[in-house]
Amino acid sequence: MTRWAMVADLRRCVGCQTCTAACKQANATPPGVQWRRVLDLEVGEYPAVKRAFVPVGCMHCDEPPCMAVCPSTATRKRADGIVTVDPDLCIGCAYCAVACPYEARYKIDGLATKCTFCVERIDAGTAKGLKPGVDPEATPACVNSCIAKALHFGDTDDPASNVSRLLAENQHFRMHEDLGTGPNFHYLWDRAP
Amino acid sequence: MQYAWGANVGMQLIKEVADNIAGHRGVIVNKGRAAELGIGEDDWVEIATPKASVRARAVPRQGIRPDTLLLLGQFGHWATPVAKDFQMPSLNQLATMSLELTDATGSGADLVRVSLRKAA
Repeated sequence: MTRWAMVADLRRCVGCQTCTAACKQANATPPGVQWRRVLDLEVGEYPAVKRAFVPVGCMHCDEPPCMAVCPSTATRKRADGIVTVDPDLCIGCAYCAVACPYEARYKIDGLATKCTFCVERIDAGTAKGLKPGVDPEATPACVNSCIAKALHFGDTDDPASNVSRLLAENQHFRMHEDLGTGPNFHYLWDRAP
Repeated sequence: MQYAWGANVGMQLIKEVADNIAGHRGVIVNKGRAAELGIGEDDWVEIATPKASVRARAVPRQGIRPDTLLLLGQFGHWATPVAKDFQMPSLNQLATMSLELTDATGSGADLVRVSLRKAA
C-alpha cells in the first residue's frame, strides 16, 4: 500500500514563506486563502525565548474529522491517504471547516477547499512512472519550493522511502496527536522547547 | 520581505505571505515592556525622535530586548512607490539619511534613539 505523508524539519525551516507563495501560485488560491501556511511562534519568555517556524495545512488525517461531518459525502479519503473534496458534491455548509482541528479549510465561492497534497501532480507523475517526493514533477509545489530542504514528501508505508528514513533517524511528533486524528504530517524536532 | 520581488504584480501576494511573519503590520516591542507601558497587541503607539514621529500598531513579542523596538519597513527615502495603505511604520521617517551613519550593508542596520508611548 501507499500512504502519502509530509515531513517538516522544524530545525531547518527559516519561515521564508516561499512554500506559501508557491502553493498560492500552483493552486491559484484567492487572496487570504493559504492552503500551506507557516506559523511564526515563540516559546518561553525573554531572555530565555526561542522562535519556531511551523508549516501547517491539511494533515490528510487517517481519521479525518472533516469527512465524518460532511453531509454530502464531498469529502472522501483515497486509498493512498489523500483527503479530497469533490466540488460537484460540496454544498458549502462549512461543517468541515468547523470540525477540522487544524483550521486547514477555506471556503472559496461557497465551496470548501484545502491542501490537496497537489494530488494532480502526484497522479500525473505516478502515471508516468515518476516518484512523488523524489521527482519534482510528481511532488507537491510547496516541497519543491522549499529553499531550506525543510519540507519532504513521500510514502510512509515504504520503509525505504525518503520520509520513512527521516522518521526512523529523527525524533518527531504530530500535531494534536491526542485527538486521535492520525495526521499524515510529521514534524522533526529533537530540541527542548 | 522585499516587495520588489516579482515586480508590482507580485506585491499583493508578497504582502499577504509577509503578514504571516511577526512585525510586518507594525512595530515589534518587548512584551513585558509593552505591558509596563499599558500597550497591548494591535494598540496604536507613537514612536518619536525630537525631529519626527510615526504611528504604528504594536506587535508585542518575547524575542526582543526591552530597550529596543524593531521597524521592518524602510520606505520613503527614495522615489519608490510606497503602499501607504499597509499602515506599516517606516524607520526612514525617523532615521536621518546620512552617508556617515549608513553602514556597509546599505543601511541594513540603521539605528536611532526614540521614545515610545501609547497613542491617544
